Amino acid sequence: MDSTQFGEALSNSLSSSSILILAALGLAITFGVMRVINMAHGDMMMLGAYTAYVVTDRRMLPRALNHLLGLIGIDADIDLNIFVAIPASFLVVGFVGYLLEVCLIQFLYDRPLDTLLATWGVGLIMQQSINLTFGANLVPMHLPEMLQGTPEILQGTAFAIPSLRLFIVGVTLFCLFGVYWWFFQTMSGLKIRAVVQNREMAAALGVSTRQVDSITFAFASGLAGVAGCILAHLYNTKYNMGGDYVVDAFTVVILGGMGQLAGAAGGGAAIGTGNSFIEKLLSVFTKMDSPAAMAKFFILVLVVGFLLVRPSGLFATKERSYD
Amino acid sequence: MLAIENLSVSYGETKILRNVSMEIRAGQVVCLLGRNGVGKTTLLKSIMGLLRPQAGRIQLDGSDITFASPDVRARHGIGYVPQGREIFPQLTVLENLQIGLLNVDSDHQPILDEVFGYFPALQSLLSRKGGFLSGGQQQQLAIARALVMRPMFLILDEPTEGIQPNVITLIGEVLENLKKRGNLAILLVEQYLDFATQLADICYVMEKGAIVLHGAMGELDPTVIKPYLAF
Repeated sequence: MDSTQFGEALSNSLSSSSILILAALGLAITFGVMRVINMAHGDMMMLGAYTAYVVTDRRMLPRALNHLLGLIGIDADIDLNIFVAIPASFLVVGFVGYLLEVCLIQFLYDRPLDTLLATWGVGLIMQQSINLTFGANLVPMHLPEMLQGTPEILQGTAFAIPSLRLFIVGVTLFCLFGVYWWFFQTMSGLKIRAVVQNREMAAALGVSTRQVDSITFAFASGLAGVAGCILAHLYNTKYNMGGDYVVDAFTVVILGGMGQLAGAAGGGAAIGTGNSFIEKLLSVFTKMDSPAAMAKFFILVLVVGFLLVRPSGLFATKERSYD
Repeated sequence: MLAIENLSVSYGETKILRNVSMEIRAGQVVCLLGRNGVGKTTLLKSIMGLLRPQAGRIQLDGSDITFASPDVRARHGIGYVPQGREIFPQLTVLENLQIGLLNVDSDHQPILDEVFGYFPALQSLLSRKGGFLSGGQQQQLAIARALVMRPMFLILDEPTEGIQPNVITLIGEVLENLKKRGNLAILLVEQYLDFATQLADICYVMEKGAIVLHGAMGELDPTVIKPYLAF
């Protein structure tokens, strides 16, 4: 493998790790911490991707805004990009998550199988409503100039990583540190940790568990939205793209260890990096037709093997031993 | 302060509490006695709102809380020290106390200083995880965690269970002090009769989910109570 190929694999591994971490971080909160099996998590990523499309495509939101401003006599030329799309995806999908928790999931705690089916159904509804509204094919997102190309100092080296992918890594780190700060440095994070460890006792000490549940779920959904927004800027946006990612995200959470946020980061990085490098090695050294599928297969075998040796995942939680 | 009228509670089809009525006034220590499995903890959980009653009413300080959620009751002034202590194992001692302080608007430090006055051992354990404390330390933390909420009504479920004698003495002294303040009502579930008789003004005895005896502690003959406690 020469340095160009290494650079390609590295750059791929950074972006796919980032997406996996972002997708798994939300899931680590809903599945690992709240024990809700949310099959619509992938579809929430899809919603995030479509939010990015609506916000950034010149024919959609920017045109509507320009038109509105034109009505009050301002000749505007608003052009929205990924910097606006990321918070927009977070808020829109977070709100959808909030509605989902309040209208449906709150009645299904302690009924994991019912939650699985119900959220799967919700995911199908999301897919088809998006399909009916926007159709199946979308144009690629346009990027702001500063995220196009590769930073000059990296050009020609083995680390020729495009600006966009570096930016994505930054967003992922920002989200990771944000979640850590929220959970471990703030009073509302303390409430979440208390509810997770002992729901009844937290309630008996005056913590509104309803509020904690809905806000936590909304936040986790918002993270899925951010993951989707980033996906939209890397790959094609399709109404049924969620299914491709939800299984991967669950794999990451299980590999990382249930209930551990560090697990989402570690698991996501391990699977994302492993996948990209194995795929590159396969395509360089064998003349395989579909190195991507084969790489995925290898990764799954490795994950299963690892879990056989260490069933509690990368970061084992000690919480259970006190129950 | 707290009035319970004809409360009935079931787990599924099994009726645990039958028409339980009880009254507790400010400044009183009421002791609830009875064998294992007669429904004492069920009654306390129902008062806290962790179980829903099939019939009956619970009033706290004049307002009906029969269907209020546990967090509303806690904010209304009920402090709960459960059986088995239920410390958050992965939170530090300080964080356990901070959960209790979340709904307190006034300055936290004087409140903390006050409970450290009651339980000095906690002060040196603040950064220790709750799960690593001994049973006696956990019990002190559980009581302190309820007290920082400044409750007007304190529920204690077997606070002496599995605790070494010197901590039992300490807990007894703290409860005695709280009683002297005069504005706090305490409901104590206890199997350890000597501990209960020292503290309590009023005694209720439960058998098969119903109150079978009640009266002022001094007037009840221990020989009448004993048969209801024998195993």
